[in-house]
Amino acid sequence: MVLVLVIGDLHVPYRVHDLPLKFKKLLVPGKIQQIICTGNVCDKETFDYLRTIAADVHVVRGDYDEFPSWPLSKIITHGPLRIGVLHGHQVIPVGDAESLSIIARQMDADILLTGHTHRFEAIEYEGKFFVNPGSATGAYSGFCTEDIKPSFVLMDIQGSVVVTYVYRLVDGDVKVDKIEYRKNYDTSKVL
Amino acid sequence: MDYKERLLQFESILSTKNLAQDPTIDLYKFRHLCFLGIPDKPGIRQKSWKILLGYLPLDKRKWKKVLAEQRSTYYSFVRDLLADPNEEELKDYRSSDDHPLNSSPTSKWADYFTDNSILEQIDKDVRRTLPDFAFFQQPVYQSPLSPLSPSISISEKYLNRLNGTRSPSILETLDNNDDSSSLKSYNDSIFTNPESESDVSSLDPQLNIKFQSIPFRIDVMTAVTPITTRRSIFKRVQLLNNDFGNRRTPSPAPSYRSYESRDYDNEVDLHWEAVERILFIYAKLNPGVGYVQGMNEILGPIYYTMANDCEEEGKAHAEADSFFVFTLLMSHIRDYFVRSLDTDDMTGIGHTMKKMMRRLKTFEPELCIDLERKSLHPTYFSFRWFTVLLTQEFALPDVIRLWDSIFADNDEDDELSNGFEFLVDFCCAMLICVKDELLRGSFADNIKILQNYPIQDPKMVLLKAYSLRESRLLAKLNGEDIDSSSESEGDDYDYLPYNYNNTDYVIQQHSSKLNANDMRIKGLAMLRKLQGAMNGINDKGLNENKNGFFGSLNNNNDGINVMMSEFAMKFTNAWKKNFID
Repeated sequence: MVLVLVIGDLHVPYRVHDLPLKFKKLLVPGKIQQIICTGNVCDKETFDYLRTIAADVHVVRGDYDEFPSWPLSKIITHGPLRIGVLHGHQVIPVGDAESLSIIARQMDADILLTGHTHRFEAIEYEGKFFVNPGSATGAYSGFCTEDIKPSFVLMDIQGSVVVTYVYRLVDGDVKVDKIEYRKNYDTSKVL
Repeated sequence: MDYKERLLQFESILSTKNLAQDPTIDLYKFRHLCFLGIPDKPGIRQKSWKILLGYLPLDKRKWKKVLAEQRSTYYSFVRDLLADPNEEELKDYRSSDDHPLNSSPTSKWADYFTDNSILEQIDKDVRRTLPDFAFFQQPVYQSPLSPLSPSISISEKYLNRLNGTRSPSILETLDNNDDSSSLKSYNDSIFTNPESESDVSSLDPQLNIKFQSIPFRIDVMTAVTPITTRRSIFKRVQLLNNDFGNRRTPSPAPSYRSYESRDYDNEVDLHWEAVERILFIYAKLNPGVGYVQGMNEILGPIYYTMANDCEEEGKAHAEADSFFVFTLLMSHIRDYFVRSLDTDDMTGIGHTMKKMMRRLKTFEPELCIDLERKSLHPTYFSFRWFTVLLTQEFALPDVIRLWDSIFADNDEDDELSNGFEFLVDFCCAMLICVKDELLRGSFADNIKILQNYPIQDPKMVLLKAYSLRESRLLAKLNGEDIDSSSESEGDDYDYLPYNYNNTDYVIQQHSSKLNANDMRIKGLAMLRKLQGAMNGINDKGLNENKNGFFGSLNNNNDGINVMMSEFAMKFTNAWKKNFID
């Protein structure tokens, strides 16, 4: 059982100066095996901080990132699951389920991780799982009119089952929610 | 006594026939018998060790019940303690609030992560246990009796061999493992044949043991229901070793055992995996000691002995029995593994080493002074001898023979000792046997000799140890206790190395003075008890100590003098016979 941290849209130091303290307390090294970052980390120091939490960090380029060498999208395999990662600024309309679904089908991903909207979402649509970890720092976003709450996601992957734990900072307290996703093996599909 | 006689005696003591006439084992006599070595005939040693360490009760009628209870306890441990927190959550996930980053002490996830660090340590050590022996790399004996065996792959031929009856639906009933009604019908089908007992023994030569007439029953509760979580720790280790960031070298396990492609529940355990499981459960159940490197070396010979039992039942439940035997053994030597007791000379291993040096002083003062002069502290060599009970000094068959004597001399009389007095005698004898080389060589040579003990055949050292023990016990009977520090205070100072000139030494001196006082008081109290026993006074201490040397003499104060001299005579006669024969 692999613990994967999905985090993104930190915008450090341009919009926010740091992660919330309570989140930093939770993210201790040693427990998490892999980090997938959806982009807009923005800073070398923040990226190094992510590397101290887990050795294996996968990151994709967001529209405000300082590293042009990062890829725009990635696919990571965990056993039977294919996880696709994308920042999301390429998708128009922003955060639209159908457009994301097109991307997921293009990448042939069972789970698609995106960011950019700064809003947490976890939707199962057409047999695929779409997760948006939101913004870990609660940074300002042009698209989100409501209050942005800091959040990130921890996925517990066991075979073809994923249990998703959502950590949100609501009124100064960390709230945890759990969501489960099972990959459906569609035997009628021709590969 | 020659070998055949002793073998007969063992068999008669351990036999479960005639339970009505002779149900209880005389522990004192049995210990005395074991002390000279347990015969290598299959089946005897396993039972003897279990009795000596207290796993099997002395009343033979209770054996079956106790064994069944203890084994089912072990299996429930395996079921409960090895479960992954995420698996439980999957079944029942709306109820718990736990999450992986939870660091509160009640969280299952927090436990999971702390356990992982213990597990990693255990795994590294166990993989390397006794690497010269192929035994540990081989698969565990599979048996329908053990819930730790995978559920399929039991051929009909094998079943018939066991049962003596032919039942076409056995395999079908076995498939419905969780249905206890089908198990019951399986059970009944075995015993439709009233002569199944004798059939069993005639079919398989291994089961044909004269004195074992325990009928081959499968207890419905602990039969074939396999435990699904038994391999979970190996999955965890695989994950831990399968480090994503390429920080470490890959694990030494061969690549064909990759866990992703195999069917977990039907995979067979290897022996070292069973050992790992035992150690992990022990560490979880005893957080005070946890796991310390060295426990794997102690568990190795125990598990090896139990797994090589000739009986079906013994082999199937080897892991469960080894766990309990190991726990009982650890209760004696636990102090060696607790780090906080390592600093003091009065507790833990420091105390034992000091005892050894004191005995050395009594028997071979020249050697003792020489070692002190070279500042050859006992920690440099005897630490390993004591903590892993000599497994690293001799070959496995010799170690097993030595352990027969060590377990047999389980003297619980002295409150300060942990019971393994013979071990101390033996280590003392080891020193005395290489006395000439030690006296001749320098510090470096001595260390080399003592860390790679040159005498590979322990027979000589064993005889020397017997003589030491005899002298010590005779001295005790005469009222002088070699171990008590009722000698002058200078004794403690002589023991500490001379050229140890930092402030720690000064502090040690003072603390040892205070402790020496304590010891002296305790030593005098003990002497008083001994003297009281000899004079037939009904001392309060005697009544409490039912299991020790004095208590076993039926609390009969008047007969004590007679009994003790009888014991001394018996012992010397036995020793003489052994020595001369």
